[in-house]
Amino acid sequence: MPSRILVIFEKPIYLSFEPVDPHLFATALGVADTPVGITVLLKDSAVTYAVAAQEVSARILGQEIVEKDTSPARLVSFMLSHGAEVRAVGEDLAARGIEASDLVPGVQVVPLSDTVSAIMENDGVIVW
Amino acid sequence: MHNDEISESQESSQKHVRKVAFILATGSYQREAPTTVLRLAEKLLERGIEVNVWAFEEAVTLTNRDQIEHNEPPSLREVLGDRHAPIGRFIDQLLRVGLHGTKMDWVTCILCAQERGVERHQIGGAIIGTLGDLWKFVKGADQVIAIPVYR
Amino acid sequence: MKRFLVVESRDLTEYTSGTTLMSLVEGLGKSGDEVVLFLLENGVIAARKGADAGQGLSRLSDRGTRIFAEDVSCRARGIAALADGVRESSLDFLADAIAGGFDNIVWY
Repeated sequence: MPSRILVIFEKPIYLSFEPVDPHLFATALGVADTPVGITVLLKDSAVTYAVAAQEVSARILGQEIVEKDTSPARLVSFMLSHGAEVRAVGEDLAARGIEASDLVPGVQVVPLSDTVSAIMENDGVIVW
Repeated sequence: MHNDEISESQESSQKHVRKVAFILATGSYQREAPTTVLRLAEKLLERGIEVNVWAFEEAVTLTNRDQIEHNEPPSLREVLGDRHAPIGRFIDQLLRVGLHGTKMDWVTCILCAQERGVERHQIGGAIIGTLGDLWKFVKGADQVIAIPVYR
Repeated sequence: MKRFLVVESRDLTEYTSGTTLMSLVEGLGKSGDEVVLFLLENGVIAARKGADAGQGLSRLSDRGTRIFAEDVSCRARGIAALADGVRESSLDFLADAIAGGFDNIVWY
């Protein structure tokens, strides 16, 4: 029975009429409510989820569609505070001009080559 | 906003845009595209530009009247909030803007709606239509905006 | 003079077509026609100051393409500074530009 799961995000989803990307909160639920050990790997464009200063908000006919002040960064913080590891691929951060100082505290910057060992260390892999 | 850029653009234009057709094939909750279409449609309506949306494939679920405003999982409420509004409500409100202003028509492809079992579950303002309506919208529009399906 | 609007909603860095999009935009403007490149949704990721793709955007801007990045999309992704040649803009600007009319709108 899998007890350690690697969860990989590649494409970020914002402002989809969910509070955040549903894959993010599905992962966060696993972190908060289950004994499964979860490591999150943010790669490709999804490294933006690790940026601290995300402000997600949009209005239609004067009404805010994101009713709670939330963002992927808040979910990343939440998962870290509930025991998950969150890693972001350094090459993908650099390609997008994101520096380590831009990130949510606690996010580890890892080389892309570490993906191999991360897969080997875990019992299952979810690529969203 | 850059008003200097806008006026420069408009001076060089030969067109007078009165009608914009959107072709939308993606559902919500996984994509930002429907949100962008609604946000842009509102801006165009404000400018007196008629908007026609032809929704097919997964986009036919956007106007499903049975979307339920549900509670979020208890353990995530501190970061997600208690609940969130479904997209259908905002489409309904944009359609109602046309009662007293510039109108938006929203046509749902009958074939896609039948495939997904939502033909009889459309909100009041959505019109069940055919592929023929797509091409009538395209032919009648001053500008056509087609949103790709990927992602 | 013709006018073209190209909207990019994907991260240019993530797709092979990201580089071909830049060639397309440049090609559309080669005859002296006006080209507006409007980045929104994940399309703004390439415009973050320091991003690799930002250099290509700056070159396009130097050659006459007007490039804009939508404000709501930038804020959502924590983008505070843009590559040289890319200006922050809004859907109000996009709506005004569409109202002005384009010979073609290509939305990626």
